[in-house]
Amino acid sequence: MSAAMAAHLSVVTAQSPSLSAARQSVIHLYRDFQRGVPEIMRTHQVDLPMSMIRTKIREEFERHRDVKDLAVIDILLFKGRQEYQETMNAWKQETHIMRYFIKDDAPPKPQGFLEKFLAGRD
Amino acid sequence: MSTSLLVKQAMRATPLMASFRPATTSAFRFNSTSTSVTETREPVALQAEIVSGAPEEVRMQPCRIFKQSKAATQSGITNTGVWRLDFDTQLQAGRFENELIGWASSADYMQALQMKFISKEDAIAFADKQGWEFTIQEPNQKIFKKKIYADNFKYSPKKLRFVKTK
Repeated sequence: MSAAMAAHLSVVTAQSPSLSAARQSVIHLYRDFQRGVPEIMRTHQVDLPMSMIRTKIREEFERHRDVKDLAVIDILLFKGRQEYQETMNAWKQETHIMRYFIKDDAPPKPQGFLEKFLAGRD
Repeated sequence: MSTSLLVKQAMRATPLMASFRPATTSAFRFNSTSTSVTETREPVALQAEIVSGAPEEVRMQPCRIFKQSKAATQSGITNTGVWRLDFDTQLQAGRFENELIGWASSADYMQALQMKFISKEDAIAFADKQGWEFTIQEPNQKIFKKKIYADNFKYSPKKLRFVKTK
């Protein structure tokens, strides 16, 4: 039973033969993520609106838009698939989901001498 | 707004960035046995900066590749053979006092990192692969002059080293 659990939503890691094949894999992964957003919200009890999660997924994919190296794309695909499996199987918890949004909610860093002094920071 | 169109725009071909990374090792060995026309994979050094998971601010922090100099007070040279990679201390390193105990803490996550390499080229290849800004500090080569006691008494056309007068 645990072997079946571990295999659920797992994908055999393959070397993409071409950029277009890698592009197809990326698009499939993107679609899987976007299709799974309602389930993510239901499973992890995320309080954020759906649009915010969809935007965050888009943002994560856009970050590596300009990568052209096939080897790097394969590793990014593997990591993306890993994230998808862990999220959909509820191996991650809400805190891991919220970690993607931590930088958006972080309080502004103290600027100037006085603010840093009052915060006790260098 | 169709997401597929947007994603297609995202994947449209852009001019390849010139890669100045040395192709020392290949992360993947790819044997193409198919007869159809496929894009061949060039063995290039994997750009670890993209997949390492390190924050992007690390690329802005300068690091130093150097050899530790021998302590002048001692004659031991054990630590002088290995090349090290160390990050410079930031001016605003986010130092603060720990709230609970009062320890001197720092928000700089690279301050304690020191890596060791057998050769300078290994260190450069690693820093290059990670996308770090590095400077190389060449070690000071100690020039050792052999001194022979008999030279004090040898003939010299110039001024004598020791003037022996009684």
